[in-house]
Amino acid sequence: MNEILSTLYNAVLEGDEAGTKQGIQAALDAGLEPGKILADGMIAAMKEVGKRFEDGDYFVPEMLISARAMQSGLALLKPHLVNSNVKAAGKIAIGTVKGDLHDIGKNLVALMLEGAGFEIKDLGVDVPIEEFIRVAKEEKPDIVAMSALLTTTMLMMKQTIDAFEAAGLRDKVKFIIGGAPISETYANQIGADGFASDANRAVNMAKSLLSK
Amino acid sequence: MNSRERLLTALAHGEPDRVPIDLGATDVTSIHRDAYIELMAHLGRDPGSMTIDNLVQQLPKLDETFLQEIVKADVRAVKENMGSAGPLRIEERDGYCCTVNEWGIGMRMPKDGGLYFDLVDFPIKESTLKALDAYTWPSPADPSRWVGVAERARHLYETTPYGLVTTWATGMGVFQLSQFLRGMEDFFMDLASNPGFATRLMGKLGEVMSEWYSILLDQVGPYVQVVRIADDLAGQQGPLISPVLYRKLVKPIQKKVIAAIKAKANVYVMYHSDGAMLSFLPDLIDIGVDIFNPVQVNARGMGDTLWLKQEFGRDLSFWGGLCDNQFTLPFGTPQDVRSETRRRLEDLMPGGGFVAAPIHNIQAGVPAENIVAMLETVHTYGIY
Repeated sequence: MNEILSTLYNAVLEGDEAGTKQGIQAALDAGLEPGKILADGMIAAMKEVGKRFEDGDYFVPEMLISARAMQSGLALLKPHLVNSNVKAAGKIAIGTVKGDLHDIGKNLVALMLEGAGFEIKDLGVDVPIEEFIRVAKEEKPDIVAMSALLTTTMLMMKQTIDAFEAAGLRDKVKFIIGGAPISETYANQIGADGFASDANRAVNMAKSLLSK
Repeated sequence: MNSRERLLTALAHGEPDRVPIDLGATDVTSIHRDAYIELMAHLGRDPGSMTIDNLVQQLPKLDETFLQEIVKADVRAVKENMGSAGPLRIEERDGYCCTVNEWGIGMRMPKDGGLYFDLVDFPIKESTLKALDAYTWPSPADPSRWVGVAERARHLYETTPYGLVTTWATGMGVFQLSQFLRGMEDFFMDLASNPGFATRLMGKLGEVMSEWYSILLDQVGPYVQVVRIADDLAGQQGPLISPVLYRKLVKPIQKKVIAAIKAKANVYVMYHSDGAMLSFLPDLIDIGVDIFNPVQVNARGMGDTLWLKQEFGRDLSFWGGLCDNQFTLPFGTPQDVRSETRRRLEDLMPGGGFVAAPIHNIQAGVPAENIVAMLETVHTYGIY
């Protein structure tokens, strides 16, 4: 790999925010393609972060600082990506369902998805069904990702999917769900398209759903 | 054998007449108000003028005759008073009930259908020593916390047969409370990118906690048998932070706090952490923890309770573990609940060292029939 990009890659991997920004600036100054900076310098690093998390070498703190570095870097790179017409890997609307205010897991999933090159529309916490529907209509995401921590609020996931069905929007989006009490069985039962038990698996799930 | 003797026998790793039972003696072994109301209706009992004992988790004060007749609970809580700041002032704003506690932590609960207060604002905004110095710590010496506390504890000790458990104001340990003061994500990032600050924060909290416990145990030490700390280290899939980082930064501070507790009173220390705690159990034994709560059986590596008992049961008592709380208890049939509860009893009871309690608080929406099935199974098969 190009030396400038490999420095950037390492900065993201180490969660070095300042180093990431410097790395991007250096890459832009050297005239590298914004799309290439994103793919090889940043998304590739976040993929390695995900792998290390999966292997038990990285934990939430390490993942968070890498995601933070990625995010600051993206802010810097975004105008250049737009100018050179680089498209996101897909658009994902994400939020915790109505009644559920627990967003640690959701935030981590959103960060990792962003790190994988998806465009994220974060709807925050306690998101009413109508809001998911409004966003689906207006923003046209490829995926709606819902999170719930509680056995009580997880039932809202089914209601949300049912409401999409009733509004004739079900076939416009894929649903992925996650959260402490969520299982694959539950995902199948309520007609979600995918389930992920952690942020890294959510990235893999989103990629595989959009490659279908 | 009375309840207290039963508890002490079990915690000394002996077999009492029957397994001791806890419901409601801690903020992590109780029942959510909605499930409690439904249960009381199912039992044809009047929940009375229900007071909420724990605002954040919406745990009611449980009716004493219910605890005696239905649960046959062996343990009760001894609690300090609120500080001079008094009860929390709850304001309604944008569809939420909002409040700020004496630590400066902002919380809110949806006004309609809300189940908990969630933490939304954190008082220490920056990971700088300056921000840490500027933070005003609640004072454990605040006299209004301690008025009548020793008398209440002595009264419970002398006039009731129950085992007594206590904890300090927040009930939390240094790792968790640091997250509550900085925000979970920010504190986790501090751990990874500014460990000096994270250690200073936890160290300061450790000092505050040790002082707090010291005053608390001056009051209630002679009467209580168990002191509880809740300091979650694991998620359901595994540790929240690297065990190496834990051993370097968190464990030494926890160890000091536990030493301060044990220097003050002859008590068993109960450590609460949900999740996949397998990698940390040897560390807990190492820092002087006597009791592990709750054994979240559906978390990774925690399901084989027979093995857990064989591996760690000589050094740790288990308190909790009764029935999976995310699938079986809320969504299974009463028969599912009976079989699982019976299995956990068979795994965890032998040789003592087990207090039967739900895995965390019984949540809203858990059918009353299932709670009754769990309790009945303990009453039937919890005999030695």
